[in-house]
Amino acid sequence: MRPTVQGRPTWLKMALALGIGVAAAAVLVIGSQVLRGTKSTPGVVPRPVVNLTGIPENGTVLGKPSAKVSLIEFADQQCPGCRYYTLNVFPILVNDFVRRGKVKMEYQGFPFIGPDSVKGLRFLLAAAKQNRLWQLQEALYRYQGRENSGWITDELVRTLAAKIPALDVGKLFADAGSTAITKEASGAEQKSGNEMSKYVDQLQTPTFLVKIDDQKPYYVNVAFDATAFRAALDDALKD
Amino acid sequence: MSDRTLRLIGAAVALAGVGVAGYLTWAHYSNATVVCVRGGGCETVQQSSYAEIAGVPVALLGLLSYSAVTALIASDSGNARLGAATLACIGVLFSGYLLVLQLFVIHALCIWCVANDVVIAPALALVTGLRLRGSPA
Repeated sequence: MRPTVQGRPTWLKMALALGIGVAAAAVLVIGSQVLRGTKSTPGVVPRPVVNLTGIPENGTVLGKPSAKVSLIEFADQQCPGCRYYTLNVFPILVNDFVRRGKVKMEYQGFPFIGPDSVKGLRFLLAAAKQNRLWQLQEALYRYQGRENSGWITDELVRTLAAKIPALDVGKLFADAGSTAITKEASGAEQKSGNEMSKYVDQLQTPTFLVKIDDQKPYYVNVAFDATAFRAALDDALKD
Repeated sequence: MSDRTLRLIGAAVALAGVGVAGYLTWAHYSNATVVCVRGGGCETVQQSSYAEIAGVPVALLGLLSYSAVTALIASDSGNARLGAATLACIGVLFSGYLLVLQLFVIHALCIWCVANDVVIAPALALVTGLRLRGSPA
């Protein structure tokens, strides 16, 4: 083998390394095809994680209308971060703030991930007409599937909606298919995006704004944990 | 461009790779806390069956590889340079394959993966390849 010049590897060494590199990449590609994983969907949570019985609902708003602070959530039913927030943080905030009349929550659809997002929002807006948006969104997150895999099926919605008290499933489907709601859901990405862009540079979900009384809302940039949200809401309630 | 500059660029690119692969590894294991940026797709890619090889997250393989390249660049002997270039070569070839999967099989693009496949991996392969011309410091 020719000695190296100033430590530079010989051409033979480099060719050998290149060969090893190509072979290793080929092994990885074959391994990826043969030994690929079996992940498919996030785990289903069969039971509701929060009890909303007795809490006032009006359209997209959950909580007493007189509550001083509003927590505005921009969400997409396909967004796993939104799912995490709803299953892990939302129940705590409901019990600590909403049920006590301190905070109300407002849902704003930002269906940006794909067709399932728009379809999901259509059903949520239809549920809002019966003041049951919050129950349906919680239920859909519990059964969230892979993005744009067509997981929001009529059958899934029908099954979940049937378990929500005082929700007329027939009316839900009729409203979800109406021209007005179809138009509203289709335009929600643009509308919510315009609204969000007043407060954040990067449009993402979930995004939260806090509004105190009739003041201008402000962006809440906190971790998805109850402690951080509690602190943000306590802070807003102090004002 | 001096070898020292190439070394610094290589280290910076490898660390960027550590950052991206580290984030994706974290996202893979935490599962529910992925932030969806406009354009979506990340979760689809992360949840696809191609995100793992024999139960090991592809992102973790990337994290280990970029960490190894960073260490080899820091070490900087002749063999370390060759090792870094070899790993970078494997990385760019496998990244190309992953990009093809995203485009034509999974039908979803993850911005973090694309940043790796289109920018970081090729840049690292280029820089580590160019450094084979020179002598170690």
